[in-house]
Amino acid sequence: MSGRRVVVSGATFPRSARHALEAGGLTVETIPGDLDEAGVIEALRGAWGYVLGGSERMSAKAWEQLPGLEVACFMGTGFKTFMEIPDGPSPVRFTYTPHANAFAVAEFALAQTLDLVRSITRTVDGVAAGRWSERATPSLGSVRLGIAGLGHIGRELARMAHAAFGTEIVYWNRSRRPEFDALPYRAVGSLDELFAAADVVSLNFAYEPGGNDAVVGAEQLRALGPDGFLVNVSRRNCSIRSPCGRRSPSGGSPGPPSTATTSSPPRTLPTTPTVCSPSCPSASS
Amino acid sequence: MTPHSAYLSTHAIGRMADMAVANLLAVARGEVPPNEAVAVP
Repeated sequence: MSGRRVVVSGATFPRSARHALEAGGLTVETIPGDLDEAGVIEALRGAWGYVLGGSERMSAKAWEQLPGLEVACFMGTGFKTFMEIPDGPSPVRFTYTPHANAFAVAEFALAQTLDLVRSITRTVDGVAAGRWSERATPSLGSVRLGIAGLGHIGRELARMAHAAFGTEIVYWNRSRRPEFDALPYRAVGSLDELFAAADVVSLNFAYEPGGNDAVVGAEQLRALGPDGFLVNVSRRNCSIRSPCGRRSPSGGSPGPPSTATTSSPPRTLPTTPTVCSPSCPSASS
Repeated sequence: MTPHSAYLSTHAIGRMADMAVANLLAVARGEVPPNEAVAVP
């Protein structure tokens, strides 16, 4: 296998994995994870393998310019956005790492959900600014969490919330899966029903261009209500239509397709690291 | 909104890297990689 060069993009590829490739007779070099397509093609000239670990996007036509490339691997699950596979035959074997990220993403989403429901960031920021909050919040033990899309991430999020907090779980999945019947969760018949039934909704759809663009709009948000919360785990263009076509508070583009932070209830939360706990963590309703 | 970088835990990165290594080494040996990506119409 000597002479086979593997190019790895991005900064996250562990040293142990690099050593494993080298032990298999491959040579490894790394490139930045933010190159444009032309830059990646230039870096890949003469390479045998490619690990796409950055945020670059490779079109179907890019591979035609890389005659020596035999294998490409996307580090993640949703490869379609980053690694476009040609429709016809290709000398490149395309691979990916499905669902290895489910636990980590669900963990992050659960943290955001907890932050929203318990108003953690707002309370901590208020205390830091000298404002003492006596406002009671709901608790994850008393809210009903709606899981839209019970795939790998949705299932993991439901499992975590139910196991850790006893959270009641309702879910909607576009296809009926008999194996879900054994789970201690309640299925509803439609996305609208889910928004009506839940206090907090987590969107966990895999993006399918042209198939599930902007599936959530004003009617679902109204059903969720002014006290509801929405945690968007999906790619943003597959999930939320701007209810009023207004510019979002975070400065996003106005109008569809989608804003991540809606300007009317229910509330969503831009990602904010929480660095300390407030002095009133027990004030839940 | 959950950012795309939400997957960035050392555990998840380690699992993904292990799977990437398995894919590449399988192809190097002339075998079918364990996680092949196929075009979806």
